[in-house]
Amino acid sequence: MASLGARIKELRLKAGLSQRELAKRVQVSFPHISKIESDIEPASTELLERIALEVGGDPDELILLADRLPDELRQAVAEKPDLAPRFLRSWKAGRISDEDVRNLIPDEPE
Amino acid sequence: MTSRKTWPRAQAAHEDEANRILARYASFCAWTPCLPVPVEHIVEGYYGLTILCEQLDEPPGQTILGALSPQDKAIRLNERHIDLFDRCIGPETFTLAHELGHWVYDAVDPAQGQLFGVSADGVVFCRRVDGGQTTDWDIREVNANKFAACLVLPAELVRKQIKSQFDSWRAFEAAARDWGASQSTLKIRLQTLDLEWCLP
Repeated sequence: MASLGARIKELRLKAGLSQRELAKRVQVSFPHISKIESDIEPASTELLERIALEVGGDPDELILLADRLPDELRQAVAEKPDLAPRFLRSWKAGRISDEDVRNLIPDEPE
Repeated sequence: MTSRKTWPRAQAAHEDEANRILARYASFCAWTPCLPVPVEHIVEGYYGLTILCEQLDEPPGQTILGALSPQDKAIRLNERHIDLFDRCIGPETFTLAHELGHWVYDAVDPAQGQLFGVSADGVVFCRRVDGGQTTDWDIREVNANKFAACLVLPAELVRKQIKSQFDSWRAFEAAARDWGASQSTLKIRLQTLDLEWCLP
C-alpha cells in the first residue's frame, strides 16, 4: 500500500499540479506540502480533505492512509460501542467475509 | 566509493544533452515544446525524483540553495532560502535543473539511484553560490550549471522567441519572468547563444 505522501504526489501529478500550485490552492506553504509528500510532516484531517478536493481524490482514502478515521465514521463507531467494534473485529478476523460486507451494503444512489 | 570520471564538457554537449531530454520528455508526456520549460514536472513526472523543501545546513560563508540525495532519489531545496524562491522567478527552477544535471551527468547508474561520493547522510551535491573551478567537484558544479541553463532556456526555443531587440529593460524583465528564468540567467544565456544584440 502506498504511503499517504506517495499517494498525494501520485494524485497531484495526475491532476497536473506542481507542489507550489497545490500549496497555493489549499492555502499552506510549499515546504509543508513537500514534507507531507515525503511523509515527514503530518497533515490535518481538514487539510487532507482540501487536498483531496483539489487533486480529485477520495478524502476518506487520504484520511485512512493517515491512520485516522473520518469524523463521521469515528462518530458512528462511538455511537454503537456494543456493535461496531465487534463487527470490525469479526471482519478483520475473517469471520465475516468481504462478500458478506458487500451484500450488506445497499446500492449507492446514482 | 565508486567515482565517475568528470571533465569540463563543451557547451555543445550541454545543449545536446538538454535537447535529448526535452525531446524524450515531449514524446513521453505529449508536451509541445515552449517556454517556460516545465522543469519541475520533468524532475518529478519523467525522472521520478522527489522534491523536498527543508532546512539544509550551510557551512560558514556558504549559501546552499539545493542538494541531491541520490539514495532517496530526492532533490532538496533549502528552506532557509524560501523567501528567495517565493520572491524571485528563476532560482528555484534553476536549482532543480542544476541538481537534475548532477543526476544525469554524475550518476554511476541513475537507475539504481547511486552517485559517486555519497556522504554518510546521503547528501552529495549542493548548489553553492561561490566561485572556483579547480577540483573535480567544481568541474561538476560548472557542468551542472551549464546544463541547467540549457534546460531552462533551450537554444531553439529562445531563438524562436527572439524576434527583435528588447525595447527596454522592463521588456527584458518580463521575458525572463514569462520564460521562468532569472534576468541574470537569461542575460548569460543570450550571450552564450550570440544573441547579445537583442539586449536593450
